[in-house]
Amino acid sequence: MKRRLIIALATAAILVAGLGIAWSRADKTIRQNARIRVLDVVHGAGLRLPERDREHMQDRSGLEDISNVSCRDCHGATTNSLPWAQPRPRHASPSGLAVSARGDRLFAAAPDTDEVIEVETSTLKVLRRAALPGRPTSVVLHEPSGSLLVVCRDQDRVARLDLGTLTEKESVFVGLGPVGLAIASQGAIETTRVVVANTLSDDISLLALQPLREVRRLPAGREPYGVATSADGTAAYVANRLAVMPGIDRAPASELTAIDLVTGRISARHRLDSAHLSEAVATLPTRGWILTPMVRVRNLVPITQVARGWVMSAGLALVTPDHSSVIQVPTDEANRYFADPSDLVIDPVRERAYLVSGGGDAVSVIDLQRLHLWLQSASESTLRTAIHQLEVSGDYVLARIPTGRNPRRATLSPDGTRLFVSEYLDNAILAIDTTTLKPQGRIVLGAAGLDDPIRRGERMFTWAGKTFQGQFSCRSCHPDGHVDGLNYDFDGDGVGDNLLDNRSLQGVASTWPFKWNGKNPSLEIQCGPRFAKVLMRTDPFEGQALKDLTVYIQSLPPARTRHAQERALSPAQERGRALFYATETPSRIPIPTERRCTTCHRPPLFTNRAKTAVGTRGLNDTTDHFDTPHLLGIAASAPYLHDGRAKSLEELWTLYQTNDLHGVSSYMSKQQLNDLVEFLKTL
Amino acid sequence: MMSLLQRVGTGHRRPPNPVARTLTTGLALVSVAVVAIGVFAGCRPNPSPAPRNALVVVQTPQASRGGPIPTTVLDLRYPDGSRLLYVPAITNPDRSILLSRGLVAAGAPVLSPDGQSVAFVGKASASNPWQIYLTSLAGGEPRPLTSFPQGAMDPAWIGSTRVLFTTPIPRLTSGVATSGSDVPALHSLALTGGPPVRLTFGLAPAGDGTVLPDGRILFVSTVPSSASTATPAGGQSLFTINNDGTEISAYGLQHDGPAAIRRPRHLSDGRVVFLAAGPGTTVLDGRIEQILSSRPFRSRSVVFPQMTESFRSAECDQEGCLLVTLRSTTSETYAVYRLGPGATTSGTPWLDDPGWNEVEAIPADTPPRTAGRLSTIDPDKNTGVLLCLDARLTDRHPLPAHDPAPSTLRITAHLPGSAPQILGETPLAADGSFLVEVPADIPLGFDLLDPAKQVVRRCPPSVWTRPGENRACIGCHEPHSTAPDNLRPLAVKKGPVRFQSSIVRLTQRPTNP
Repeated sequence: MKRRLIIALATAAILVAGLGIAWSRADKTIRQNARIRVLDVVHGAGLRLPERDREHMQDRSGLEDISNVSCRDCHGATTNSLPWAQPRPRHASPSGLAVSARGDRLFAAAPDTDEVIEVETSTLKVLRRAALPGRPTSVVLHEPSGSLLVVCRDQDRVARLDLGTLTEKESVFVGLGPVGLAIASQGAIETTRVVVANTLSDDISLLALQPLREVRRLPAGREPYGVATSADGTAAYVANRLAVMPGIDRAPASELTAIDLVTGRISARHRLDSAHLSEAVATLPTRGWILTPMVRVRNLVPITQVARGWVMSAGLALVTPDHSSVIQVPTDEANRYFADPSDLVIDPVRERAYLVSGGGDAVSVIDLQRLHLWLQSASESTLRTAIHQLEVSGDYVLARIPTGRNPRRATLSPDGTRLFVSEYLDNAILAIDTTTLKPQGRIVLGAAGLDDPIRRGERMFTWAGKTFQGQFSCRSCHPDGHVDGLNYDFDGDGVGDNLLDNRSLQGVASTWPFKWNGKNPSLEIQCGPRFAKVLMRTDPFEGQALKDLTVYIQSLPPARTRHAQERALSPAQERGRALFYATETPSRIPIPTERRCTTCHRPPLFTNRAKTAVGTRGLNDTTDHFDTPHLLGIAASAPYLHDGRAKSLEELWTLYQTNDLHGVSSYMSKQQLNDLVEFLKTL
Repeated sequence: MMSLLQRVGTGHRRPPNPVARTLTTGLALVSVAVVAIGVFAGCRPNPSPAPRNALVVVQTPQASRGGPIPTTVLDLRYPDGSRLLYVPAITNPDRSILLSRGLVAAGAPVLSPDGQSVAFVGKASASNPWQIYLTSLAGGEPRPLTSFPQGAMDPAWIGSTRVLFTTPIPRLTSGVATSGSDVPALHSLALTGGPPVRLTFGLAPAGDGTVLPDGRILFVSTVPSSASTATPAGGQSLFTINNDGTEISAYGLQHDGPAAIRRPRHLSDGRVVFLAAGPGTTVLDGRIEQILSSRPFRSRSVVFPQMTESFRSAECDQEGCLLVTLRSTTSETYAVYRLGPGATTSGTPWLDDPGWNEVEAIPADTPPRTAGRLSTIDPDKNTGVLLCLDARLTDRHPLPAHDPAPSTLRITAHLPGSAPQILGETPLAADGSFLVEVPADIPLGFDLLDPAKQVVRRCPPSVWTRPGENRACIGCHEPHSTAPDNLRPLAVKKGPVRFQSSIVRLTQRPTNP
C-alpha cells in the first residue's frame, strides 16, 4: 500500500513537473513572439482602417499601397523590442587557440562566454577558466614575459593576462573589431611587436609589449582578419577578408598586406584577384612562401549553375619567394567542395599545411613538397588558370579529416605531432594525431547548446552540407551575417538582367519584405524553397531547420561601426541629422513628402518596407522599383544601391542621383552632403 | 545440394504447438493494437531495417531451358527462368524469399531508399516486353510500374517517390544492341502515378542510370561524331543530368577511346566503379574499372588488375568491400563474392547456389541518402537559354591559326533519323561569348564559322536545354572539371538572340497506360 502511494505520488510529481516545464516553455515562446510582434502588430491593418486614417498613413508614408505600413513605424516604435536586442543564451564555443612551448598546455578563447580556457594536453582536461569580458576571440602566448595576449573583439582592445594566475594585468585599445593577432620577436623585448588586425576599422595596430601600448596604426585592405609574422620577426602579413569591387562589371580583388616591422610601414600590398574570405595567413620559411586560404569568387558570371565551382571555390593564394607574383591553386575537388576556409596552419618541418574548412567540417592536409613539385612542373599559363582546374588538388592534398561542426581555428603542438582544432559550434576542441591523421580525442567545453534555436540556426547558416556538393554556406556570402561587398547575377529573372548587390542580414529583423525586388514577405520564404532553387540547388531548408535559421538571422544585431560607437553626435553629424529629417530646404522650399529621407527611410529601422523608384534603374534592370533598405549599420555595408554601383555613400548623390528622385539633394552644398553622410554613418 | 528455394520449400515442418500458437496469436494481436495506436496517433511504425549481410540476388538457371531467341539485351542478361531472391541472412540462406513471383524472368534489382522495397525488370510471359516492377522485401506479388510496348529497363530510385528507367529497350541485331529513330532515353515515373517524364534528349542511347549522392543522375551514353551524327565519336562514357534532365554534362571517360561500359555505381569512398568491355559489344561480362569522383578525368584504372575472371556486377558494400558477381574460371558458373581492396583472387564464393548462376547481387542494407533538387523547368516555356563564355575556347583540337578570327556561330537542331536543321546564326561577342534562346528538348549542334562562313570547328549535338533552363558552358568542347574565370560575358549585356523553330520537341510522352 505504502509502495503504491509512493509510486502514485512520484507519478503525480513527474506529471506536475512536466506540465510546469511545458507551460514555462509555452509561456516563454508566447512572450518571445509577443515581443517580435510589437512592431508588426498593425502590419497590414491599414487596409482595414477608416478612410481618414488611411489617408493619414498614405500622406505620411508617401505610399499608395500601405499594406506594409504600421502605425508603430511612426508612433512609439523602438528597436529595443526586436529579437536582436534581446538577451540570448551563451555557449562555450572555442575560437582562437595557442599551445605552450613545452606542448603541455593549450589555451582557448571562448568569445560567447567571455572566457579564456586552459587545457592540459596530455589528459585533454580543462584546468582553468578565466573570465575576460569583451568577446575574447584570439590568443597568443609570449612565454618569456609570462603573458597570454587576448584580443577582445567587442571591446576593441588587447588584454595581457598573467600566465601564472590567468588574470588580466593590462589592456590597450586598438582599432574597431580586432580579430587576428600575432607576435613578432626579433630577440629583445623592446623590439617585439604585437600585430593586430582590426576587422571593422580596416586597419592594423602595431603594439609594443612592455608596457602594452599601440605604437602605430596602419591602413589595411577591407576587413583585415588573419595575421602571421616571419620567423625572424621583421615582417608581418595580414589577410584581408573582403574584396573591393572597382565597378559593377569589373573583377573584385582583395589584398594581402605585408608590413616591415623594422620601419613599421607597409612594405607591399599583394593583390589577390577575385579572391576573398581570406581569414588566415601562414608562412613557410624554408621556401619563402606566404600562404593564405581564399575563396575564388565568380560573381561576374551569371549563376546559371553552381556545379563545377561556377559561383565560388576554395583555394590557396601563394606569394612567391621573390614577392613578384601570387599563384592561386585549388583545394576543392571536381565533385566535392570544402567551403569557408577559416584557418591555415603550417608544419615547416614536414612541409605540410592543415587547412580548416569551417563550412565543410573538415581539415584538408596539404603536402607542400608535392605542391612545390607541381608548381615547378606547371607552365606559366597553367599557373595562371590553376585555381579553376578542380582536379589539380589531387596532386597535393593528402587527406581530408572530418571534424565537428564549424571548425574555425587550429594550432599545432610545437613538435608537430598534434593538431588542435576548435569546433566552434560543437563547443569542443578536437585533437588530431598528425602521424596517423586520425582524431585522438575531444575536449568538451560545454553542451553543444542544441536546445537553443539561435545556436541551431547558426549551425544551419554556417553549414555547406545544405548546398550542392557542399560548395558554400549562407556564411560564404554573408560572413558574420554581413555582406561580402559583391554583386551577383542570379538567372531566375533572366541571364544578365538585374545584377544584385549582396545585402546585409545584420539588423534585418522586422524589415520585411526581403530581396531587392521586395518579393519575399518573410525570411521563411526568402530562405526556403526559393533560395534552394536559385542558389543551393539541392533540398531546401524546411520545417524546424528553416525556423531555426530565421531565428538566428533575426538575432543578428546591426553592424557595429566606428561612428555608431560615439554616443553624442558631432556638430557635422548634427547638421546631417537636420538634413535627414528636413521637410523643407534651408531656403524654405517645401520638400515633397515622397522625396524626404524619412518618408522611405523612416526611423527606427529607417525603412518603410516598400518598393520605391528613386531613379536608379540600370541598363540591365527590368524595373524602376526597388525595396527600401534599412539603414542600420549602413556605414559598413558598401557598396550601395540595388546593384552595388555606388562604392560609397557619397556616390549615391554625387554620381547616381537622378532629378532629386533619391531624396532632394540638389540644394545641398558639398559640406552639407558630407554632413548628411556623416550622420548616416551613425545609424 | 538443393537450391535456396527448394530448401525452403522442402524443409521439415514441426507439429504445431498449442502454447506457441496462443503466444503467437497474442503477440500478433498486441502488434496490431500497437500499430493501430500508432496510426491513430498520426505516426507510422518504423520499418525494421534489413539485417546485415542480407542480399538481393538475381539467379539465372545454369541449364538452358531452350527459350525463345533473345530479341533484346535483357533477354541475353536474364533468360527465361531468371529470378529475384531476397536472402535475409547470408549465413542462413534457407530463409530466402522469392521476389519475382509470377514472372518468367527478372533482374536488375535496386533497393528503395527506405530499404523495404525493390524495383526491378521483369517479364510476365515469354512474349511480353520487359517492364519495371516493384515489390516488397517481405515478398508478395510484384506490381508492374510500367507498361511500355517497347519495354523499360535499368531501374533506379530518385529519392523515395520516383523511379528512373530507360525506354525503349534496344533491340538485338546480330547479337548487338541497336536502336532506330526511337532512341532509348532516361525517364522518370512517380510512384503515385502520372505520366512518365522524359529526361534525356540526345541522339545516342542513354541507359544504366544511377543516382549520385549529390542528387544528379549518372548514366551511360555516347558522344555523337562531329562529322556524322549517325555514328558515335568514340566509346561509351559517363554523363550526368539533374533529376529534371537539366545540365547535361560529361562526367568521365569521354576521351578514353572506344569501349563499352555498363552498371556505373558510386561507392561511399568516392569511387565510381563500372564494368568495361571491348567496343561494339553488348556487355554482359567485363572487367571492373574505376574513376575517382575527385578527379574523374585523371584517375581511370582497373580495380582488380590481377584477376582474370569475368565480372557481371559490382556494388558498394558498406564495409568497404565490393560485392561482385563473377564467372569462375574453373566451374564456368557465376557466384557472389566479396572482394576487399587489392584482391588478387576471388577466393571462396560468398553465395553459390547449385544449379543457378548468381549474376547480380546487391546489399539489402538501407542505401545511403541522396540529395534532392527542386526543378528549374518552366513548363509554360518551350525554349531554353544557352550561354557560352567563349566559343573559341576548347581543350581539344586547338583552332588553327586563323586571321581573321572566327566570328559567327551557327546552331543546328538534330532529330533522330532526320537531317540536321539550321536554326540560325549569331555573331560572337568580342570576348567570344554568345547568348541564345533555343528550342527546348532538342539536341543542338554548333558550328564556328569564319567570316567567309567556312566551318572552323564543329561541336557534335550532345547537349540540349530543357524548357526554361538557363544553361551555360565555358567553351565549345569545354575543358572538363574547370570553373570559369570571373568575367562578365559581353553577350549578356544585349540579351539572348532568339531562334524560332517549327521543330516538334522530343517531349512527346510514351504511353504508359
